[in-house]
Amino acid sequence: MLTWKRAGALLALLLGAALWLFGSPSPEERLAAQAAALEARLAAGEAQLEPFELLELGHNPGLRLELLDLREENEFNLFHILDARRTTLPELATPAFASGLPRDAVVVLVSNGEGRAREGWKLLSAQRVPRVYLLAGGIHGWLQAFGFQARLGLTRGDCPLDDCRRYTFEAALGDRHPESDPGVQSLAGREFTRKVKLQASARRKAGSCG
Amino acid sequence: MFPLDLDASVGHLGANALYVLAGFLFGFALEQAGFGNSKNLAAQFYLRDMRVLKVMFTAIVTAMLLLVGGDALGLVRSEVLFVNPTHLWPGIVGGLVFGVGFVVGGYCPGTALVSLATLKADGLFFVLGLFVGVTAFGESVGLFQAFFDASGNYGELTLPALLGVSPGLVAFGVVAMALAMFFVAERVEAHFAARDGGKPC
Repeated sequence: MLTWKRAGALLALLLGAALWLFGSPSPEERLAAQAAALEARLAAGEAQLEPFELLELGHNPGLRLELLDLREENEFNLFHILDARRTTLPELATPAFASGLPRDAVVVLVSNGEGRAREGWKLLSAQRVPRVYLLAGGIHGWLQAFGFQARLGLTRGDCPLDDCRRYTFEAALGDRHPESDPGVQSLAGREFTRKVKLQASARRKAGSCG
Repeated sequence: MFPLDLDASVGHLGANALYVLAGFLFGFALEQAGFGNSKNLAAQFYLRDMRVLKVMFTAIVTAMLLLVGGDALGLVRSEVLFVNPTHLWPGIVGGLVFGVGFVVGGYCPGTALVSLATLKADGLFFVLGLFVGVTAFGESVGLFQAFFDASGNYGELTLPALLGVSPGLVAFGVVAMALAMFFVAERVEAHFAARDGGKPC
């Protein structure tokens, strides 16, 4: 006989089975399902970190920063921000990459402009990676913000994702250019809106049956 | 999308009012389940009344299905939810201390407050003891800090990550486990009811 208790048990079992079979969408399916919401968050500027905030975070010894550079290898070798590591959009789309990122890290994506970084932000956000941001204006924004406009000026025609290199360096020195780390003194007198909410390490020992 | 930013939508005062309301509803649910009576709670440990197991696991299964389902449908941003870090050995020791206090006193902290709210004397004494215990622990926590920080510290650990399977499979497994436990629990209750001649414990 089907009592309320048995009906509840059956419903829970069916829901559990449905979640097992259909409840783990692929990164692409998650991205497709959330595309509009993620675009809205990007349009609202929720994800874009100003270069000044990124520099400040990079000099915060109590913070784990994962700076992911999505540019081409030759561009990365030419110049990159201190402590950045290079990766690619296809890598970001793999669940293993997303689950391998430390849960307590602040993840910041970098590209020449914002094109690839926006795509990467959507991929990681769709996979539920916490605290993912992108560098506003990309490397171009970084050079502009810290007064290295002389590096900018290169123009190119065909430009996928509106994300082509517009800067030049004489040698491929990676992060050994002075532009890689303008230093915290560059932040003196700068006013900027912080997006990353930092809090003192709180020890939460709570846990109760109620 | 969940979790809601209550401070932004209803203000700080409104958010606190909602927290109080949620607490009241939680306490009301516990009282309705019979958790304001220490005899019902202690009977769990003597296998005479398995309602604690059944109510708590029903709550766990319900919350889990809603969370995993909400995550799969894109309604819940699970990445911003707080995951209590796993401190294995401190958790085991704390669980044993908690269990002894539970079986001796007949309450856990939340149910003691429920009992106090219904003006039960044993609930009052348990809550007073709770404050004494909290104060004593707070004053001596430095003695245990190294043990807490370093002993079995696995950080934010979840079953899907630990087992390397999807959250949906874990959800199904937990539901199946809960139903099996309920089945066994009811058989155990029936066994002791027959042995005790139908008398309450």
